[in-house]
Amino acid sequence: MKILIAEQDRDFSSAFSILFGMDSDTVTVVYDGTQVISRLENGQDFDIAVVDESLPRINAKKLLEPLSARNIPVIVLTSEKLTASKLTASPLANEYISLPFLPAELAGLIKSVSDKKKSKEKLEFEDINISVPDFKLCGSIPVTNGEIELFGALIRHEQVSGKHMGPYISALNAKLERLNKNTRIKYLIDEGYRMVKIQNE
Amino acid sequence: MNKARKKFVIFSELSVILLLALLLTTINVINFTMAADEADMMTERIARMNGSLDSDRKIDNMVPPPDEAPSVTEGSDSSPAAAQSRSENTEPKNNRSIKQFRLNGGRFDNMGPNSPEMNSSLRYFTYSIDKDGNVEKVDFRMSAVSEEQAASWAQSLQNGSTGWTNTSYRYRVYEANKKLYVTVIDQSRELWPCYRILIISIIGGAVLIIISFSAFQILGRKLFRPLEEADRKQKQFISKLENEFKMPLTIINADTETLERQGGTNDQTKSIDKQVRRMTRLVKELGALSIFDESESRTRIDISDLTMAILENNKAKFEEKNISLSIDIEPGISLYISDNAYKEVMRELISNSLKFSVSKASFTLARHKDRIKLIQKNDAKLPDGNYDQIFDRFTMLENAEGTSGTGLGLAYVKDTVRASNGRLSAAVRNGTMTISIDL
Repeated sequence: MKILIAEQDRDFSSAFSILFGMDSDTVTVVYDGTQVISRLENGQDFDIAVVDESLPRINAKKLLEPLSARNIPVIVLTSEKLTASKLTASPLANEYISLPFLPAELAGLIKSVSDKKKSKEKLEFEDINISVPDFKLCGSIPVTNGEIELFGALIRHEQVSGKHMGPYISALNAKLERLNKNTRIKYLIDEGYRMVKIQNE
Repeated sequence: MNKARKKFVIFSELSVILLLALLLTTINVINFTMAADEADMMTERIARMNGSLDSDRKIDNMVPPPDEAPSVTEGSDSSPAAAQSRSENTEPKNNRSIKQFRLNGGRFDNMGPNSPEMNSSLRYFTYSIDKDGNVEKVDFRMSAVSEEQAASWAQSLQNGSTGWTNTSYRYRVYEANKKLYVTVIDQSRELWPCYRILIISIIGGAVLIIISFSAFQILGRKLFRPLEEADRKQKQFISKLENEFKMPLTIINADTETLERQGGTNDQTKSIDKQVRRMTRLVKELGALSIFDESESRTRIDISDLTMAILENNKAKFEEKNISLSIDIEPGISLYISDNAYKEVMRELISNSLKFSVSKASFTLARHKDRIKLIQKNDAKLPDGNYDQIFDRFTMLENAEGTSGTGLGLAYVKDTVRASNGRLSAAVRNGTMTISIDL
């Protein structure tokens, strides 16, 4: 797998390029935003990009568009805590990961995001659907990897941990509200998190 | 910290108000009491003269004021001696009360309630009332009321003894010649300064209160600025520390894994891994503390449902440790609070009770007057006492030794609760630890 790591901290880049290199991934390391653009313009292709939110020269937000135009999914590194408002703020990011994290967490996300890009699955629940490779909710609103995982787990009636999925639950609920759907994710005492119909107020 | 400043201003201001009120009330009470005493002295004098000063005035008029008229009997040397001798001359004819003002060699002859000027300027009337209720004029020297009005006024006062009537008139009721005498004197001129002092006291007091209030506010700001600054710096430091640690920890994690994969796991890599995980956890908890400064969006949420949900989610943890968990939650309580903040508070309370409980833990959520009370109890093995210090940063109770923690969880709870204007306390009574949160 061809991974692009765009991070100012050279120790970070080298640590992860060595680690991921062991799993026969090709890791390309860049240290600022202009390097990302020049790599893309040189016609280099990547399966996935890991971009630091506060990348110098051209920040992650501005890089999202050229990356997604080439259909390269992006995982954004952030030093802030993950919140629902963060998840809904820049819609082109496919996933976020907060520092500090274990290498396995990042590896897991890389796999999970790139797998979704390759799949042709479409998750459906009543009048709601998520097109997995497009990361789109009902064909219009972009969703993150975590929200897709959440939606899939809810359809399969799996237990969802509120502690880990909290921001994703709030973000998905906000997006459902924006689409005027009357389905929300709620906690039911006997069942845990479920998708339920709400009464229109 | 802002609250401490407010408290300081309020308490200082209250004490100033109290002291001012005490001082000004005392001054005015003394002032009015003295005015009443003086007036009573006059009415007593009139009473002794059987209701009229006419005869008395003649005597007084014969005594010239010592500074004005030259002494008739003694020549022109020092006046105290002269005055004294004059006073002694008139003494037998005068009544007893005059004697009081002959102190200091008669220097005060022309001052005070018995001075001749006072007598001539005195406005009063005296009416006598006999057993059959016939009202008869004894003396009338007043211009504000007519004689008829005075007569009925006297009649209306006959059941009293002494006191104020119609604001500035002092009256005395006494018996003489088997008749009831009512003397009323006008004291408006004497009372006016008293009222002036009262008005000045009220206005001056109000002005002083306003001035001191602004002074205390300025002082409070000055006094508390270093403290507020220190608190802000501490928070800033923690958040900086947290950010500075994040990247290195992530890198160490990755490097450790690389080492393990290259050379296999050994005790050293395991140790590094363990320590890094510990530090990662600490940094994450610091993150919870500092996130709080960016005021998160608050919404009205049903905390009864949320509390129940969180407790149900964590039931298994209590079962694992053989702690019997009792939950008593009043349904339908909603609160304007950040959803994530409340979840964090609950998480910390749960992890705290898991640490301290021996066999029992309980969570209660109920409305209490206009507040919402969230109470967590457990049977901690701790001596009785107040444990409010557990809400301070990096404070861990001795019992918590051996159990993992950073001393930050409950500090976060405190910050959250304080930010929503809540109160919290922790205490151990009879072996039961109670953490009470008022929201």
